[in-house]
Amino acid sequence: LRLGVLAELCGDAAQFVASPMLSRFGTTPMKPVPWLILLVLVAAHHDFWFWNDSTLLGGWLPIGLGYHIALSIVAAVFWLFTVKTAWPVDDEAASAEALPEGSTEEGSAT
Amino acid sequence: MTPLIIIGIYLAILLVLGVSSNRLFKGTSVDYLLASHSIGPFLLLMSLFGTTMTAFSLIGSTGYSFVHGIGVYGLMASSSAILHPLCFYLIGLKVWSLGNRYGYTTQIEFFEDRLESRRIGWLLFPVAVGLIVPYVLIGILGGGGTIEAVTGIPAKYGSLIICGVVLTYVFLGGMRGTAWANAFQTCVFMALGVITFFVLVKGMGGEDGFVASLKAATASVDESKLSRVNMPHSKYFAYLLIPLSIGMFPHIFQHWLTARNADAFKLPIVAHPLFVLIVWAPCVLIGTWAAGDSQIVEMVANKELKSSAILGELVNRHSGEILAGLLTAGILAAIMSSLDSQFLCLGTMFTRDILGRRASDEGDDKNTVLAARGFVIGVVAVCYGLSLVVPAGVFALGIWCFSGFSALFPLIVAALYWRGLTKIGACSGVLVMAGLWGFMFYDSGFGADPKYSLLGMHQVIVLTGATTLVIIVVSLLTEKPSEKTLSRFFNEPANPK
Repeated sequence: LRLGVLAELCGDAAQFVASPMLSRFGTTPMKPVPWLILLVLVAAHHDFWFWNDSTLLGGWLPIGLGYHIALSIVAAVFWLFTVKTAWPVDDEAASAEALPEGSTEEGSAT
Repeated sequence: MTPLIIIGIYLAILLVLGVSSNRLFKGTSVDYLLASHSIGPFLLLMSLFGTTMTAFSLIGSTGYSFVHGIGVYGLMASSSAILHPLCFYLIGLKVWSLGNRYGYTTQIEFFEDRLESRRIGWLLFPVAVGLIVPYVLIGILGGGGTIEAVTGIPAKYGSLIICGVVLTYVFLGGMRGTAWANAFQTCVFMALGVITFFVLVKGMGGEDGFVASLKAATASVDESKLSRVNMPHSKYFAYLLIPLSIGMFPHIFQHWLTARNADAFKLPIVAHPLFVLIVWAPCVLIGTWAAGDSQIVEMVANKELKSSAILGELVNRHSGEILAGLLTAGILAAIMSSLDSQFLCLGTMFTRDILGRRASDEGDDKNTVLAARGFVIGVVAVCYGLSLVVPAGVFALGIWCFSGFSALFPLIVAALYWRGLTKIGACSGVLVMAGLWGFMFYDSGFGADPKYSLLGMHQVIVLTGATTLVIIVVSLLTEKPSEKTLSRFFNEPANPK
């Protein structure tokens, strides 16, 4: 490998981690919190603690299933939080970027 | 007869939708293929979700839960609830932004531009089409199987009817028709899904009260199905990679490009986990309860009933004729809302990526649309033929398809966020994935072996690991795209000039 290529790769990796949830498109400040919560959610998905547990909640809902249903709801709340606090697209820029109907190369053929 | 009439009416409504959206067709390929970038938050949510939820989600999940119990929800659904929105957020938004800026219609156009190479397109096209084939197959198999279970019409004719209806409204309405049909069908299958759940709880539990029926249905199930005691940790962990496949689905890519603006993504990102919950939780519960139904167990053991036909059989058994017709229409809605996007995308890729780019005049534009339709009919005919002989079940085929697309996920992430990705690195990664996938699919008896592994690892781990490694190593050793190209993708200001 070329000298320094590893450093370059690390630099690119850092740029990747820093880009989406931290605003590559616009001016939103860097927000590492969504990344951390996402990692916790992914870790919580592998719930070895309920693996062999067949306890029934309310007499019918297996606890393992109940846990993952709750996890899906928490995921929705997490994404609501992320959309509100770390939207990666600058709203004004995005509005300007959205093309008016029929203004693309093909559309202009009409 | 009544269910057949209701299903017929439902299919007729879809055709009317196709005709209606055709009246708004502007005669240009950008309108046919991307609905003139006019799709707002609600339609985007419905079309993305409807496209994501397939026969795999309803019929496959029920059948797989029948075998493996409640662990199937964690295996596929809650991971999708977390990771699908991540793909919309991390990849969809960026793709939409670049697509608007540079006028892409397909995934391959993006890769060719980003990597300054047409070779990547020629390589990606057969791979993407090859991976979509099993995806289309599960829709055809699921649709035919459901119609057969409820109406008695042989699956091969049911599949043919489904293909014909979807092809007709896609051809008439293009992307706008597909989005409308998706929204309509997503509403139908979610509403009827909830009704199905209540009806089946009552029927399977057999008690007067709803909660008493829930308890009775659960009580008959073997305890091992109510936990994950028989599910290997390694398999569960490997399946975490499966939802990432959505990041490389070419038909989802095309849907992202239809968004009116970036804000249109907010609703799909937030609501998707809840929609996944509404569809998957009832299916997993119904499949698990079916494992406590001795008649169903016996029919499956005697091979009188495929696991993918369990949902249809339960609907047929526990509901009246009218309701059975309505509920079957709901199941078919979920299946068709994916097939339509896949059909449209296949046509788009063929005309844009193979036949050529950007029609120069109106006459060329019309020929482009015609060529797209011809190619789609050809691929659907091949899929239909395969559906008559394929040995694997809906769930197994789905997992093979998703494994291939998941393995390509690092490619799209690298293309969007890593300046160091090279065309040779990308081509090498795609070649390694395609070669390995083909070998393992063959080695598994074309998906027939449900416990297949290579070197003790699930196929998705092997494929994703090998592809990622090859992309990184080869890219580091080969020449990057020009600085001019890199600056277009990494340093460009948000506002187009």
